[in-house]
Amino acid sequence: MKRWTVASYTIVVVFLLVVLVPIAAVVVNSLKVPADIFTPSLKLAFTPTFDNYAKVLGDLHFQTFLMNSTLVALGSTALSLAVGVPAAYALARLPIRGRELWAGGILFTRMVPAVALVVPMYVIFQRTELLGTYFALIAAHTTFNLPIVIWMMRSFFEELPPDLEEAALVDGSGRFGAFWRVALPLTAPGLAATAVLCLLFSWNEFLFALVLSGRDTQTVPIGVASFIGTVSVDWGGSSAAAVLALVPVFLLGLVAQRFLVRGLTFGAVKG
Amino acid sequence: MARPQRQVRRWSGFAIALVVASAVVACSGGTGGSGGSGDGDPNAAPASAGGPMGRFPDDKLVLSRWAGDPWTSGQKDAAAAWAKDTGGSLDLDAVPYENLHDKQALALAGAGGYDILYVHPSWFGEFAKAGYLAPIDDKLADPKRNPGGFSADSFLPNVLAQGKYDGKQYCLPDFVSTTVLAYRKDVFEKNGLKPPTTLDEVAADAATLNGKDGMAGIALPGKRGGAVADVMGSLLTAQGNWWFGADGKTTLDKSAAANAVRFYVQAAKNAPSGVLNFHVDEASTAAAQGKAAMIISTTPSLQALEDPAKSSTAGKWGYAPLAFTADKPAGELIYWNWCIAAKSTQQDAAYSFLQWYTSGEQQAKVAIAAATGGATKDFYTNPDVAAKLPFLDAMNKALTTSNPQPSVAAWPKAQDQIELAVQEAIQGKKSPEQAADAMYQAVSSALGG
Repeated sequence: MKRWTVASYTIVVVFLLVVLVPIAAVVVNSLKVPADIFTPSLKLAFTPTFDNYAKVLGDLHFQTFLMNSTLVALGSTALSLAVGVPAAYALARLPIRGRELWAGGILFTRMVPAVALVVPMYVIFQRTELLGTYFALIAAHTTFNLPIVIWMMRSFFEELPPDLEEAALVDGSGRFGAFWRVALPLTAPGLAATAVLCLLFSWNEFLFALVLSGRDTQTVPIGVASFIGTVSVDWGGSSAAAVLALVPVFLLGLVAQRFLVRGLTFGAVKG
Repeated sequence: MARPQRQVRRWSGFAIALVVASAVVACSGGTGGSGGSGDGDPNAAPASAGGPMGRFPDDKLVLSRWAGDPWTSGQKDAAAAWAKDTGGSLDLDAVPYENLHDKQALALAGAGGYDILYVHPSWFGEFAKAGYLAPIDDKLADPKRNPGGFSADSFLPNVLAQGKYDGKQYCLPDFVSTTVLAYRKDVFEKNGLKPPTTLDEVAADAATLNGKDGMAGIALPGKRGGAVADVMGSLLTAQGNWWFGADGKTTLDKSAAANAVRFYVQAAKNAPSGVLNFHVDEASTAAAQGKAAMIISTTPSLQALEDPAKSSTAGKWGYAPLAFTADKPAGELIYWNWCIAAKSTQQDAAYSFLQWYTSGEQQAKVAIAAATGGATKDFYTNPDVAAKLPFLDAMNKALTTSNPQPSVAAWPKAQDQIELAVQEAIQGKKSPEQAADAMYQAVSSALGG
């Protein structure tokens, strides 16, 4: 037993090192001046500076990228949930002909590479004069978030005992009432976990943001990549930007941790 | 049931708020498109001495360029200065260089959205052929549109010619650079070596100095990303050879290519470990931190050697052009083109910026900040530039014999194959002759025989 404990701790420590060392390096570099970053060997003793953050937030207005990402991620998540949750419930509960075929078709849309979608989307948004707007990005991000919502929420709804909704129907509630008053509250942890995943996917998405955004609607991944030039990389600036990009997601993870654990294990053990 | 109902209300309220918020923000945000009437007075004299021509109070220009590097912030300042003098506005849409071509091509093929574009040589031909760019011959030849003394003759002819397609001038160039050698004067002196004048001497000195005082003999780019092909281009020019001829067909001499690869392989043996992962910035960082006695790289990247914030060896470097034969220096002509989008409705204002920004006076400011050269003749007689750029003399000598990359859409693919061949030669997977043959096949395929 003790041997297993030591082995477990070792695995956890190694895993944490692998995961955390690069993040720690980014945080440390964000606090260094160029001369301390470009040392031949690793320099751990240095005078911290917030110059990189001042430059990123002051000269380069990185807060604009953060605001854009926030709006797009929240918008896409809201739209995906608004459309996807009822769709998931319908696929789980309603007697739809070819239900599995519909579900498979929805999953298929998630498998299409983003690069295959981006050009037609560009043309559509350009012709509708939506190119460069937040709406274009929200709609584009919804294409990959919606299948996630439908498939995750469908499995959560299927895990619920149908008796609960049937009781509501017997009590006089309609199908929508059973969904709204019974099924949805009981799957709230799953809903939260799904929303968090949608936010994360949207926050980190690069290709759609690159092609469909305008100069005022560029998101965080574009902002971070912008520190890589043709002949030089602004390591300090890109590190500071990466830290700023990481903080909201980290905070979201902390806040949603309880929901994530409950949501992702929802229905794992049946009573 | 009370608790779930409260949860539902909370969740549904949250969801509705988000949907409303997203609908509201969807109505706002930039479109990336250009605006303005295109009216104004393009012939108005500069508002201040040395300022841009014209008044464009209703014009809102959008400029497309890559992000990063010192140029972006410097160009924002220039855009603000242009706007202040002309009454218009000029926004920069800066995206990562790796994605710049695709973003520009999509915008130009569609409804537009850009007025001014920074166009790389390898896709200038593609854009010009497709009709995406507006000719500027009339504007460049019109004395009312240009300050006194400024015309096509103000530019270095061979550089200006790179913005010409099918007999029409489309673009004005800047960002002139090439590859040169930098060597540590103090290290050479300490070891009793003279500054190298030929590439054979460079290779020999690299072997002699490799390993001394913890230094590699020479740093140079080895990563596929354009810089290896730039160095190869200079090594070919130094032998009087080039990738293509006047008819656009391949003129690559396999023996010259093999010579160039042989030098590359020899140099890489005395380079810091991991040279195959070195782009120009990794090479210049290693040299700046005293990890290499010499470096071959493009001039903009060599700026890091002289920047005390990044370099522990600032002021210790000497510079020389690349040459296989002494006194026959050569280099690759590296440049970018400033072009006007054919669909822009504000071409007069766009030309005003092009003319002003590519002038020698403005380029001198860029050069001092970013270590590139201008394309006008007066740039090279500016004493401020000469004083601030220690490698200007070596660069000028290299550019006396220089060649530009072919401006065809297939060139980036050929360039990648050229770089792969060099890498495989360095790794010992190909002999210099085999690498040269692979290059010939790639170039021949890209240029159509």
